[in-house]
Amino acid sequence: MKEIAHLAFRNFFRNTRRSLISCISVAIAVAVVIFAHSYLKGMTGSIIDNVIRLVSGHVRITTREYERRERMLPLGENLPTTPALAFDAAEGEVTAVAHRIKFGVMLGEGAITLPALGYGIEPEKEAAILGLDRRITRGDYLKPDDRAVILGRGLADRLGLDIGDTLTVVTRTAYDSPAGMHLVVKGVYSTGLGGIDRSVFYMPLEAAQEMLDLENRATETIIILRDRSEARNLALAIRREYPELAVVPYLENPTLGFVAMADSTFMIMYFIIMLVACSTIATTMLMIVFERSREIGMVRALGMGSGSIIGMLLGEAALIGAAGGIVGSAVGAAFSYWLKHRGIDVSMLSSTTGSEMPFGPVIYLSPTPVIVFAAFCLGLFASVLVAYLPVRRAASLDPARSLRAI
Amino acid sequence: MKLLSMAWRNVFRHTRRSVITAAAISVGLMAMLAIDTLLNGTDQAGTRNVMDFETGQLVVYANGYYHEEGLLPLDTVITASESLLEVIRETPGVKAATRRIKFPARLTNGIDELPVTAIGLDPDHENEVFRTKAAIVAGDYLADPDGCLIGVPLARDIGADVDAPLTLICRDRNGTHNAYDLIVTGILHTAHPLLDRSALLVDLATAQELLSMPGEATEICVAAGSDPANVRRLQAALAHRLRPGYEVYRWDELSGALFQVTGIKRTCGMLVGLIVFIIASVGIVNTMLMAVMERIPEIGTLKALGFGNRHLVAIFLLEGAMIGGIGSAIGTCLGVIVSCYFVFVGLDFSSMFQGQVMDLPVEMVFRGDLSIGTAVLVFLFGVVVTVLVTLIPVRRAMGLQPVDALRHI
Repeated sequence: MKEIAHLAFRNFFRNTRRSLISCISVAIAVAVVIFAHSYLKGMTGSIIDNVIRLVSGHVRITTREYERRERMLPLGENLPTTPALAFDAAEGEVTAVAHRIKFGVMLGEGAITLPALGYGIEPEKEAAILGLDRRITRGDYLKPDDRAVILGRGLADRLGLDIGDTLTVVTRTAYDSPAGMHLVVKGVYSTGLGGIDRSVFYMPLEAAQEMLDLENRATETIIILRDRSEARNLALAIRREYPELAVVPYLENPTLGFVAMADSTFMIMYFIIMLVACSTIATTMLMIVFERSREIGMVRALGMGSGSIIGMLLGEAALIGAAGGIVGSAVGAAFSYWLKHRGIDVSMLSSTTGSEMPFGPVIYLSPTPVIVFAAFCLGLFASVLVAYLPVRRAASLDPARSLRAI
Repeated sequence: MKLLSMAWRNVFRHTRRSVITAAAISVGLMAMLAIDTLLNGTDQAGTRNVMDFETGQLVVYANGYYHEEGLLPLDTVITASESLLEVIRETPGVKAATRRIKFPARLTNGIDELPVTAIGLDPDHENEVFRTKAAIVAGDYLADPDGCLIGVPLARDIGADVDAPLTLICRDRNGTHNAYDLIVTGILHTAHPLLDRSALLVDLATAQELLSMPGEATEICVAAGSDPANVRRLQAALAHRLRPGYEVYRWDELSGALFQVTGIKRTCGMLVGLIVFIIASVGIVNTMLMAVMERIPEIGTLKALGFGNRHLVAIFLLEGAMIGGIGSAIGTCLGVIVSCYFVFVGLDFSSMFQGQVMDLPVEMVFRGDLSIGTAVLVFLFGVVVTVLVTLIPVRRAMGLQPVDALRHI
């Protein structure tokens, strides 16, 4: 065994240039896969974070009917805010429970009318969830007893409103009677997410409750945990206690349904990239087998079994794959970790997307040791796999005929 | 001729290897053709949907109306719409023209309320430009001022069937809120998901009254036939004639999002096809390399017998071309078969995206659109690339000296 490894190692250096070329193509593929995987992870991570902040929390509670008719935002389907739903907080180390009212309106200024989405929020709690206090670009953040709104930048621009102006919201209450309220524009926020900045405004929950006739009630309850991987367990626990409610952990939110699909699709793509890159190894091994057919005949005549010959040649292929993989991992990891801190500016893209897949204006790559190691292993595996076909030929060579060529 | 028969014979010296190589080429080309068909089909569907229901070929706006997508200002509108319509209709090349008013509104059934984009249309001329009437699947076309048409998914969401009463709430051009009771006269299925999901079609006169816009319209949609060159020419002619008060846009200038997406899709799709084909090409290189290596003694003999390099290259290239040709032919045939499946049956992605709503004017059932030109092109591409990559290993063989080569025996 040791001898075979030794032979493979020596053979690696017999034609250094050729080995290097094969190494480089493996290295490039491994680096590309690490980069692509980190980028995808960073991007889906950004989408998941945004969906948690804006839509789903770690766990979201609504009535079942609200979930079913969510597109209509039925205000009649609501939950009490006081006292908050009594669930066992120790179950998942809850860090925040916030109530929101979501309602659709037409906002207008002069001849411009825009469909918009209004949120009644608890400003203090939401500072830790939505984090809009840090995203105010003009004016100030909300206070709980304000009769004011903060508008997305795109929405403010389109309506031609500035700080101190009055926004008139006309809507219907939960009991379907017409209602309206004059609200002062207190601040303008910018999340960099085009769909949100263009069509969403936030107002204090109390003002929203008053306007919509929802005293001490809200349409959704958002729960934030210390550890989000506990979301499912907590959701199950709450479901047991309140079977009549729709309790949804963030990963089951329809907006995030694509994440799992994207992951598996891209794994297949990575593997194809690897196979293509490693086909240079197949060619290399093929040439090696031809070049060394006399030598192979010789060692066979000397009693080396075909298994050992295959082992020796595959060992050489693995060596090429490993050397390329190490270099590729180093380059890919260095590049990805650098971009993890620096980020890639995709504001062009993120500002034009709708609110369905909200990813931020800057994507920070999210490389992990697992991603790097997986890419390395994938490269090594693909190298040996593609080498197998040409190598098998060598083992079937007839020693007598091979030797005749000397 | 002799070279040809030698090459042909050589193809069958290693039948299994030749078959594998040809199969690799087949799969590559089949993938390319099928992907192209599918992409073409979705593009076509998107294009048709936009033209048939949203824009026609050209749209005339008042100058300054269209500066941001989705913003529908009611103060920059076509005031004397009737007389402008006459001017447009008289322009040579205009097949038909009709007026519309687009405005954001909310639709309610008394319990639930939904945001919609309301479109006021002229029932008498609408169908000269659009296919609205043909898309009605239940009930009737607009007949009286209180009627409205809604898409199947909107009808489902708001729980309304034909003859159901609905209320439209909107802001008029002065910002005054207004409500109007409507009766659903017909349900539409346009295959344009955005429209079906969130458009409400009402009579132009009703919209004018509701919005305090008598005699006005926000846009005039023009039918100009399907020839893109004609459409461009007419766009220039109309723009010149209606200057400076009006602007003329082509349908594809108004659906930026659609074409951004198709662009990305096309690139990704072609990339996948290309990757598959590169794999196939590597297969060819390997096969020919093996063929060359194996036949070194033979090459030496032929050289010693006086065969020139040109003849030897020709033999190998012909062999490559034959394998490539057979593979390409089979691949193209398979591609056409798969494409026909896409064309006649379609791929249903709706279950994959259930609940997810994409802002695209195509349904999640993708149908292909196969062009014979592409099939021929793909076949030629396969043959040419095969011959080209065969050159790589063959060049090695040509460098051999006859003596060296013969020594291999």
